[in-house]
Amino acid sequence: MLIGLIGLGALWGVVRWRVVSSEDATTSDLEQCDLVKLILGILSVTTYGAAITLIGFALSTFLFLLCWFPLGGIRNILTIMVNSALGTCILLYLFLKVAYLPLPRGIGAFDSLTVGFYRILGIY
Amino acid sequence: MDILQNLLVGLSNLFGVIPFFLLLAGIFTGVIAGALPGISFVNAMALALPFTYVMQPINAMIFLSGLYCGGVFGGSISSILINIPGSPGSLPATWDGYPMTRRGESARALGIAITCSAIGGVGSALMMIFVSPPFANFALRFGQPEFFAATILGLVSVVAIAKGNMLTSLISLFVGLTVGAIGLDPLYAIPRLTFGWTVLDNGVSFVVVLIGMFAIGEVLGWISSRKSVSYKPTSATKARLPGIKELLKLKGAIARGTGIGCVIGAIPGTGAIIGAIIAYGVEKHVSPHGDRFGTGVDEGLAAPETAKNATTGTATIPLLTLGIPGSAATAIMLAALMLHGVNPGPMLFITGTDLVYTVFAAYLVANILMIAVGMLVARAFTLLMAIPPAILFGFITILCLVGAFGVRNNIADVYICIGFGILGFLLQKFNVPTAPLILGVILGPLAERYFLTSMIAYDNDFLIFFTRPLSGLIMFLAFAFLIWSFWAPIKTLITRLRIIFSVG
Repeated sequence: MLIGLIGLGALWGVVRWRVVSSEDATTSDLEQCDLVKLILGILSVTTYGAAITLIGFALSTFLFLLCWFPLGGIRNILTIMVNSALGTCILLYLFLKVAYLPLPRGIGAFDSLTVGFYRILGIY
Repeated sequence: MDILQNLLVGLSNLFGVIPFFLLLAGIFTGVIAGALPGISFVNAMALALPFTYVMQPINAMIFLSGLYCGGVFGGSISSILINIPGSPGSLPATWDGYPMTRRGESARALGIAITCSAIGGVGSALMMIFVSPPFANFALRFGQPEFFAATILGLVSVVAIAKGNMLTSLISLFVGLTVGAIGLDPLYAIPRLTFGWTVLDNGVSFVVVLIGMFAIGEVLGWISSRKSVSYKPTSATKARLPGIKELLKLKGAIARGTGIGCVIGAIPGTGAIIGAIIAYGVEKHVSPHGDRFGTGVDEGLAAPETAKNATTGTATIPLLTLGIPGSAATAIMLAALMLHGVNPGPMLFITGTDLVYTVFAAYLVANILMIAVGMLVARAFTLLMAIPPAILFGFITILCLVGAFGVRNNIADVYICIGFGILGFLLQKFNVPTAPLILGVILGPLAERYFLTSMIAYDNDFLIFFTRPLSGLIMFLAFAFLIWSFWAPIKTLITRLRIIFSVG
């Protein structure tokens, strides 16, 4: 499979090179992307994924939404804060009370913070 | 008689409070997800998977069936109203549906789409109900060689319909096969492609790959897009169902669409988009108004809409009877069944008759209820489109990562999901189809397992796949598909050779 993959990949590379070299080549879809936003988007999603186990799902989700909404073009601070807070609470209820998913609570102090927050929300 | 009796039992299971509520919830979710551009019903099914973990297997399948049937239709709402297909299968609806909207006939267009989708879906559900049990009976004769041959047919047919995207489809398929090989070897338990990471010893879950490639890939595509599009319907979004006379005028288109959709849906690797496009092409040739297709002709909308939903029931036949999914949507259903410890295949029709016939009943009822749900969602479409994409995609990202985590309660799956999301985004940008990859991830390990057990059972005799009649027939079909898919380049080569030798 690896040999087949390498062979096909090489063939595709040759075909692409011929297309790019020809006069009919058009701008690739990748070149039409906003690379800065793409990198920021990848970084924010990856950081969120990494933060879930470290600081807990609740806090990491709230912070992720706080960063994501401005990246997506929302500028109104009230909208950002309300949607982040409300969205986090709704998702917590959905995942913990409805789907019974054992989401990470974070380590050390973040674990205690998350448990305290769940108690305030009535989840625990 | 058995089938009808079992179907009545399935219907009685379906009309309990919770199952019926879940069916309605599934249809609503599917239609809304399908209607919103950027989120296809497959994404919605992948996102909904974690919520099925706490359900009974029957309820989980009812919910996903409703989501599937509703989702396949839902994309037509945005196709007709704003000329943007909400899901790939709804692309043909833009060709004649949107021109009708521009003429001020959006209510009639929506009504035709809703009704024809429902008729196609019901036809396909009936086909599934009456074909599956005898086919499952027949499949009881399948041994490991036959199952291996069936998976090979599935893999080859994915490539066979690639046509213009042959090379990129093959690359995608091989990447999928390679990903499917990650983990411990099934025979010797030797780690393969794990690079020393013990988290990969159990392999890569295809659910995680699905969620990453379809959903995260879509999110990254949106965030990096330079275009900001405003989606505003240009006219009223109320649907008007066609009367009997109107439906009778469309009977030919509906019948052809149903037939085409049912046949196409049963072929692994195809789906609603192929069925809809073929139905549109056939109708254009057959209809007396074919030369006006593209200007807002009723038959031009009715045929693909019927075919689209007609793929749903028959696409589920290989899943339930052989345990082999033929599309991303049925792959998610396979994931749901396996997560609940239910093994689809011919034995399911003996040990899980309740489940099977409740799923049949769910498909039947979902396609009927879809009429009311479709009309309601069409009315609320303007409201849905007012949701800022940043909010929508933010929550979709969270649902994706939680869904990936929930598969095995392993944080490593979250990172794998993000990785495949980036890969999915890149594949989209380079116009590499992602469906062959997904099917490679699913069918690759299945093919390997059936191959190994066949070799163990038949003393390493490779010829067993060709000497057994059923297996030989399926392998011949796979070979025929392969030749057909490579026929165009082969023909070109033969023509060039003829020219060279005739000139020489």
